[in-house]
This record gives sequence, C-alpha cells and structure tokens, in this order.
Amino acid sequence: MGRGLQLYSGRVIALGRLLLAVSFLGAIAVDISQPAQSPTQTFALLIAYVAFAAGITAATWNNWWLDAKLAGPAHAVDIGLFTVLVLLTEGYTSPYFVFFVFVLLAAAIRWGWRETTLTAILLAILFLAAGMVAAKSSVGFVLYRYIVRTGHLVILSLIIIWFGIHQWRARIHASADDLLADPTLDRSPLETGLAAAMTALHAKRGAFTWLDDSGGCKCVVADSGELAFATRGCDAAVVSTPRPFLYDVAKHRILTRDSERNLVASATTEVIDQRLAAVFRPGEGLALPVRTGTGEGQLYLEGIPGLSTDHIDLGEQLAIDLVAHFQRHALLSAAAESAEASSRIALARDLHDSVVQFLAGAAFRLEAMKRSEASGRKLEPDLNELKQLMMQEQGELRAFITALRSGSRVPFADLVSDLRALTGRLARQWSIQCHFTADVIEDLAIPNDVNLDAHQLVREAVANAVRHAEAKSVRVTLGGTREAIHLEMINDGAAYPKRGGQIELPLSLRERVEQAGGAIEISRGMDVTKLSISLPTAGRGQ
Amino acid sequence: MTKILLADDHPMIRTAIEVLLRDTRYELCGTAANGTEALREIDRLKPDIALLDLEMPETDGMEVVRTLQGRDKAPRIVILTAAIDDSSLMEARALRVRGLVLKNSDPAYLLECLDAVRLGKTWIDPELAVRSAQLEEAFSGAARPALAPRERQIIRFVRRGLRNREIAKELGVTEGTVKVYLHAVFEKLGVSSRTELAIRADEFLAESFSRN
Repeated sequence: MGRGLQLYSGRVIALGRLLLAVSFLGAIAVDISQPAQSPTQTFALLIAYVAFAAGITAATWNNWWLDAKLAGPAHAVDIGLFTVLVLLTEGYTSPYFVFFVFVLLAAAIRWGWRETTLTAILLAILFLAAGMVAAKSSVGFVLYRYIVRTGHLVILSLIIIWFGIHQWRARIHASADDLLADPTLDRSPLETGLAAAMTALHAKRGAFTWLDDSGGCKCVVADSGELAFATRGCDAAVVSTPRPFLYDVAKHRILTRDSERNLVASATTEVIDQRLAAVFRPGEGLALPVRTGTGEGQLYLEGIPGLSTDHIDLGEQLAIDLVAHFQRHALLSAAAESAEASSRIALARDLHDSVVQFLAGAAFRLEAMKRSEASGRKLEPDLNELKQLMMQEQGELRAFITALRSGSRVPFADLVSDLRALTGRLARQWSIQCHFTADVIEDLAIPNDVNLDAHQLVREAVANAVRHAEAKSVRVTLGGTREAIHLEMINDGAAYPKRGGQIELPLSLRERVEQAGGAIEISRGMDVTKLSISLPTAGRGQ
Repeated sequence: MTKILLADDHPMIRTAIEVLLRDTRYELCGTAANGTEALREIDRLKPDIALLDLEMPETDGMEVVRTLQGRDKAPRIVILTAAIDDSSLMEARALRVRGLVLKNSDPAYLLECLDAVRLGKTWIDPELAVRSAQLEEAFSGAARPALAPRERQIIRFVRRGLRNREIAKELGVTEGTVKVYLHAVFEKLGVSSRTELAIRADEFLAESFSRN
C-alpha cells in the first residue's frame, strides 16, 4: 500500500462502517420486499446510522484522541444496530453476516483478545435472541437455519480472534526492522535510530534525548522535513515512561496503553520533558522510551501522517528494534576497540622487539668499543658494523612508520602521488616509457587495502606487459568516483594469448581484482592492449 | 675465566654482549634463543652464570629460573631484561636471583653486575631496587593469606586468559580440581570474579612473593 493510501485501523473501521451503512440503505431501498418489518422505522434508523457513521468518520479521520474516545460508544451502537437489523430484515439483503464480521474485526483490531471474545459472545447471544423473537412473531421462520448460522458465526469468531490480533501490524514493523539492521560506527546510534524511526513512520520532525549511566545527556534533533541532524547538549534529565504514548501538548492530552492493552488517557503532559523545549518544541506526535544497559532515552516523532492509536503498538515494536540497534552498535564499537587494542599491543610488541632491543644492543656495542679503545684496540671494524646495523634498522623503522601513518584509510591524493612515483620507478626498472595521468578527487579517502591493491596491480600489469608482451610503453590512467577507483593501463606490446576466442587475462591480476571485489576487462585494438580495472572504495568484502 | 651462558631471542643483543665480554674475565661459552634451549645448554655446558632475558619464545626467562631453582648445581642467575612487571620482580627476588639488569640502563651496569655475582654477591639495577623497596613497603601492612605455589600458578593461567578446562590440561588435573583451587583463591584474595582476578593478578602475585 502506498504512502497516500496509508489507512490506520481507526480510519478503516470508520470508513467500513460508513460504506456498510450506505450500501445496506441502498440495498433495501431497491428491494421492494424489504424491510420485512416496520419499514418506516427501519429506514429512519438506517438513515440515522448513515449520518452517525459519516459523523464518526469525519470527526476521527485526523484526530487520534476522538478516535480513541469514541471507539467504545461507536462499538456499542454497532452491536445494537446489528441486533435491530437481524430483527427487521430477512433474506439475502439481511446484513447480519457482514455486520457480524465488521463488528468483530473492529474489536480485534482496536483491543485485545478479551474484548474481541466478549464482543463475539455478545453478538452470538444477541443473534440467537433475535432469532427467538423473530421465530415467535414470524410464521415462516425456520429456527434450525438460525442455529446453523449461529454455529458458523462462532467458528468465524474464533478465527478472527486469532488472526485479527496477530497479523495486521507486521508490515510497518518490518520496514523499521530493515532500517535498523545495520548500525554504522561513523554515526551515533541516536542519529541512525532517529533517522530509521522517522523513515519507517514517515515522520517530519523528531528528537531523541539520551541520558547515559555516567550522567551524560545528549539530544539529536531532526527538523524541517529533512534528516539534517544537530546534536545539541541537553542539561536536562530525560524523563522516561514505561510505554510509548501519543501526545498533544497544546491540548494537554496523553494516550497510552496499560499492560492489558487498554487505552489509558491522561490530561497531563508532565511525562514530556518540558526542558526539551530548548532544543525541540514538542507539539503532537508519538513518544517512545528506549532503554539499554548503558542508558535510557526518549524518542519523539511528529508529523506522522494519520497518527492513530495503532502507533502506540508500533512504538512498542520500534522501541525493541531501537534497543537491538543500540546493542548492535555497542557490539560493533567493542569489536572495533578490541581490534584497536590488538593493534596497539602488536605495535608495542613490534617496537619492543625492534627499536628497544636494537638500541639496547647498540648501547652495549658502544660500551664495548669504549673499553676496547682503552685497551688500544682498533675501533673501525666495530664502528662500520654498527653503522651497517643502524642503517638496516633505520630502513625497517621507516617502513614501520609508513605503515602506521597510512592508518586504515588513505587520501586519494596520496594514491595519485604514490602511483606517479611508482610509474617513474617502473620506467627506470624496466627501461620503458611509463606515463601516468590522474584525476584527483577531492576529499576522497580509500581503504588501505585498496591503496595497496592499486600499487600491486600497476606493478604487476607493467611487469606483465614488459615480460610477456615486450611492451616499450605503458600509459597508466587513474580516475574514480566515490564508489570505485578506476585504473586503465594501455601498453604497446604484442597481443595477449587467446583462449576460446577471448583474450586471456593474466591470472595474478585477475585473482587480485577478484579478491578486492572489483572488475577487470581486457581489450585489444589499434595495436595496443587495454586493461581496465575498477576497485570498490568500500574495500574488501563489501 | 668465568663461563657465561647467554639466553636472548634478539640476535643484536647476543652479538653485542659477545663483543662486550671480549677481553674481559668472562667467557661466553654458549648462547640460546629461547628458554628451552637455555636449559639444554646449561645442562650441557655447565656455565657459572646464566644471563637470561625474560621475554623469550616457548619457555620464558622466569620459567627457566623456576626450573633451575630446585637443582643442586644450578648456575648463578642474572636477568637482563627490557621490562619486568611487579610480580616477576618480586618473584625473582624471592627465588634469589643474583643479578637484575635493565637493558635500558647504563651498559656498564651489566659488567658491574657480573663482577658482583662472580664474587658471590647480589646486584640489582638501581631502578629496580627502588621499585622493589616501594613494593615491599606497600605490601608490609597487607593482611591477605599467603598463596600456595599451585595457587600462584593458577592465577598466572587466569591472567593469560585460560579457561578452567585449559588450566586443568596444563596442570594435569581435573576441571573440578581447578574450580576448587580457584574458589580458594577467590576466598583468600577477596575477589568476586575471574575478570577481577585477571586484572589484579600482578598485584596479588607481587604481594605473595613479597612474603617469601
């Protein structure tokens, strides 16, 4: 169902009632045999019911408060009318069956299984009682048919009680579940949680206040119909309620459900943190509490199309999803911290094994030389040896620092300058012409593994072109987008061998590109061979 | 000449010590790159002094010290290390290690230490002597019950993150026995969880050795 046709239960029930009333009025107006009893009163009753249904629909269409408040009285009117219609009408135009289904389904959608069961029992008794009354007053009445119909209605009741309660909310909940599935470490779970909740319920405004166990308070606000987030400090305590609720601050209305799913109204809006007004002015919407092991918060969603009591139940589901989202984020953070700690330990070990040990050894060597000098021994061989050792150690240390500096992501501009230097070295190494051109993409950073893969691919492609195709010139072009980097390498060497009518790709290149999750193509024309490679900037396994 | 066996996994250190001992009264009779090799070479070469690093692959330096402790004709032991934690420091003192030298101290200390040990004395790096004295003082008022060797061993395994089943396998006992030992350790040290024991293991072990 599209967004424009999104009908919540209150609207469906009101609309259903109106359509049934109009349809039934039309049916008995056309059928000259009906109404079987008291035609004037029946028509008057039905016209009154059509007016009632239209009034309820208009009053509750955009008013969750009235929808909740009028639900009970309207249900009583529906049951009463059902009984009267059973008495007054007969034959195929009698709406008893569809009316029975309507009233029962309305109860199942609005309330819990107890209210639905009570409605079913009441309807069955009234149906039988009306049958008894009709049997006494009507000559051609068949009681047996009435009893069979009652049996059918009971069976239908049981199915609706089970099915109606369990199935109808699944669709909207599933969309929120998908949106909250993958947290990212780049953004706070408050932001991603608020964004997902707003998207799922098509909310136009939203705020998420959070108080962690250490007393820190955060607030994320999304306003103006766009998901532009501004994290603002909130020095206020987060007021947390046990269950989601609908609120209307201007009219001092709060509506929630108790543990038995009964709607509970309140005229106080104290559960809304008034100090939140500094960052987010609450109007009308849905609020839901979110609690995790590290803190608790409250999510406010406003501008939800067709806000209704259904949203209280959706809020319950959403809160569960949000808790899972926070937990997944915490797990991801812990994994990242653990990886970072492992890196630190590995770094400390490497430094200990190389630098510390080397310096200690060098100090002992210097001490030995000092003592040797005192005994008149020549120092030059020892000094030369120590110099060599220091140069080796310096080389290793430089490589180590380079690896550290690169981190997990490197700027695209660094890749450009590195590949330019690399192609210069390759030109000297293989005695060929090696040109390099690139389009620098500003502010793009790529994972280190993509950076290393690009280096290795250029090295291998150039070596391959020289060794196997005897190329004298290789032109390397680097470009890309935010999603992938593209390498194009054109060499003037001989054609690559073919297999099955297609040019065979060098195995080492193909394997490396496949491992990186990229794509490679080879083509031949105008006496040159062109290799086109793309590598996703998301890195391996993405 | 006093025979020295050097055990250190870093080749740069082995070469440097070899050069340093040249033209002295010490003879480097052998080298080893790990604890297991060191024990084998000690049996074979019977050095007067064993110069041991602590951080070595397979068997570490402290394990070599513990193994040699029970032997009649064990060499005098000098530890030459880049770093030493509190528990190892206190254990080394308790096991009567003759010399303790830090690799980042003045290189001349090593020869000074060897000279002292050769004459039957004990020599401790000044930095470690201060630390050791501070630890002794800190633990002097502690009232926790003493730990048995097996209990210390179990604490070391817990510190390494081993599970009960793995500890049982290492010690050749049942998992139930490990649980009994752990329960006793928890009671003695007043800790409530395995994590707390692992985090504070160094403190407990150091304190325990300060009583020996």
